[in-house]
Amino acid sequence: MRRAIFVRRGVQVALAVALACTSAANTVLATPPTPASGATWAQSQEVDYRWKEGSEPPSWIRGAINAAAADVRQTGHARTPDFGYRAGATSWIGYTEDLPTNYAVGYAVRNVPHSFTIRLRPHGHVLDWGTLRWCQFYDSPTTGCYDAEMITLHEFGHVLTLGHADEDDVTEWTDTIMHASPKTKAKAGWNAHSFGSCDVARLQIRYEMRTAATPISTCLSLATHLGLAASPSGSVAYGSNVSFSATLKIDPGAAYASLAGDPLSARSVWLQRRPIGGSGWNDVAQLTSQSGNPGRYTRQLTVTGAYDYRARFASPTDEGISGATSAILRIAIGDPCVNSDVTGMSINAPTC
Amino acid sequence: MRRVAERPFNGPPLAILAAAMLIAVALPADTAALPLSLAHPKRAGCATQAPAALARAARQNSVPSSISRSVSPILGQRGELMGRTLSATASDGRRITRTLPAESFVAPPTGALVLYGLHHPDAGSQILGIDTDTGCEGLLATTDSIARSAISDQSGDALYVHSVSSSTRADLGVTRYRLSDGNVELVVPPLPADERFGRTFATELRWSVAEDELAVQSCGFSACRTRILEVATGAVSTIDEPAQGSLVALSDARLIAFATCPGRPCEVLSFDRRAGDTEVVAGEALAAEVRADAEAFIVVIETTTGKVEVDL
Repeated sequence: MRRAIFVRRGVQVALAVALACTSAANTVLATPPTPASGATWAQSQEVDYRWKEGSEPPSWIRGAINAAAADVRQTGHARTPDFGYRAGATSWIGYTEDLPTNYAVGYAVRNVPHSFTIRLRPHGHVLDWGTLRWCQFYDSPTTGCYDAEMITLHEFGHVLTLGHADEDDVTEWTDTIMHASPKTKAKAGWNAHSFGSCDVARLQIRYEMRTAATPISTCLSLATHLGLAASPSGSVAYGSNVSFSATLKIDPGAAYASLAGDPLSARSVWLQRRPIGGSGWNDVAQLTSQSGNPGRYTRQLTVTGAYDYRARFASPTDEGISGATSAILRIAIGDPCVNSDVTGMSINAPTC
Repeated sequence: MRRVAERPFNGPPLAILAAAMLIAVALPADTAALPLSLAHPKRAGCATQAPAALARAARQNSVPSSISRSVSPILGQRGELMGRTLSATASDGRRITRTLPAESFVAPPTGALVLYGLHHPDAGSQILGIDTDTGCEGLLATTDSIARSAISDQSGDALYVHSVSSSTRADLGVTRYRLSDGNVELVVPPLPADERFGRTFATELRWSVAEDELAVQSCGFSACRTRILEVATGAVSTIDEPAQGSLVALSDARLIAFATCPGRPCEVLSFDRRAGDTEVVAGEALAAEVRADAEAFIVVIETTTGKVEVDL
């Protein structure tokens, strides 16, 4: 499902004016990160839950609830709390009609950083429009049922401080599972068991990435910064082994302070060179991401010629970060009579 | 205001009602798969009481602190909702227990009146009242449609009932049933469809603090809209700003509601009924309730950082 979203909000007037100068009137905007508010949990905090005494969920829905907790770990891509079942835990999940509102089918209350509660209405509860049915109740779920894993993941989203998406801003239904009105079987997204990219974006903004290698949500658009150093540097002897070291991180000036300057590992960073005074850059070697040193990429070359070097990180198509190139680093050869070359790792002999 | 044309709500003839009224004698038999259970099938002194008299008396009776009321679900072997058990303790300590089907409701207590409704696909809906002060119970009204919620007015002379179609579950609006003369009148029209709210999950009836206006709040999965009936004139106004969540209070000046949060904490909003403005009166609210002091009604909001009081 895709809907054209027209710039029409008051806060977007300035943007609309600017865009009107360069594009047609019907401007399609990407879904923004899912709204969120309130104090956050500690990064990677362990928050266990128990079944509410007297309102224990039946066995057929417990699996879906626990699966949703696993979905948070596996699809949040951020240092969110880890939710898991543990008897005697402070937080609880109940299967009950006792909700503070008469219309919700699920209800989350968070008491950050101590505990949370989630309530799920029983199968068979009658609403104005009809009867609430959980898909997991059936061996073969019928049309119109709610997927309990999706709804519970949605509720965990609220526990993590996510709010509901503004549907006017949502361009793709699957950008988020935090819809104000989740779908029933068999509408698109009815059984989504992972956070949408714009949910992940907000979780990354609020909790940072799980590791430096975690992909940045495509719902974000962050600049990156790439630095390059060499050792030895400047003028080196012919045939010297030079260690090139690049550092890749989210631009320190990024809009989200929590992410600004965070290192980025396991990306594709290349070392390029060009002859001094030349204009075209050529890839020399791919730098290797250092597992014990987040954001650092290295490669050692035997240098037999004078070149300008730079590191390049191309914009990935599967992440919400843009490419970057480092400042230029010149490596000269101390013995001027040497004509040499570096072709990848293959070294030609000096000719002088 | 117009009369109901398609009899979505049928007031029982008074003569029948008066005779058929009392719990012990008059309760409809089985209402669904679950039978009604009459813990105390007969009570002396109740048999001749008309519905209007019962509702009026119960509504105006004060509620002794000894009276309690609870509603608990009845679940099947696999956890499916089969019905509910309504339990109330009368002022004399007598325990009143009723078994209701899943399609049922129990209204918040008003005075000593416990108002509840139940629906059976074959028999329609019945709305009943228990006077916890006297222990008397009576059938107050019936309807062919599905009664989803009901509330009595301050005097106990009229019931306001929200119902949906028994065939399509389309909203049928709110009907007023005068217990004294059997007059039935549609006072709030059926709710129009609006994609901003989606299908309606629940509708709540709540009196304004002055009890001269009836708030009819209909909520989708997360967002709500409220129609307000001015009882004296029959005028209906609507507040349908989609930021509105669960209703807290209504006065002639403002409607106080939670924002469209899925849980707590949540902002509390004030919708100015005259200017149409919306204002955040508390952030990170955990609970809110209406209290009356010597001079006015106030909403007391408990937040994560303390209490906020809002004059109504």
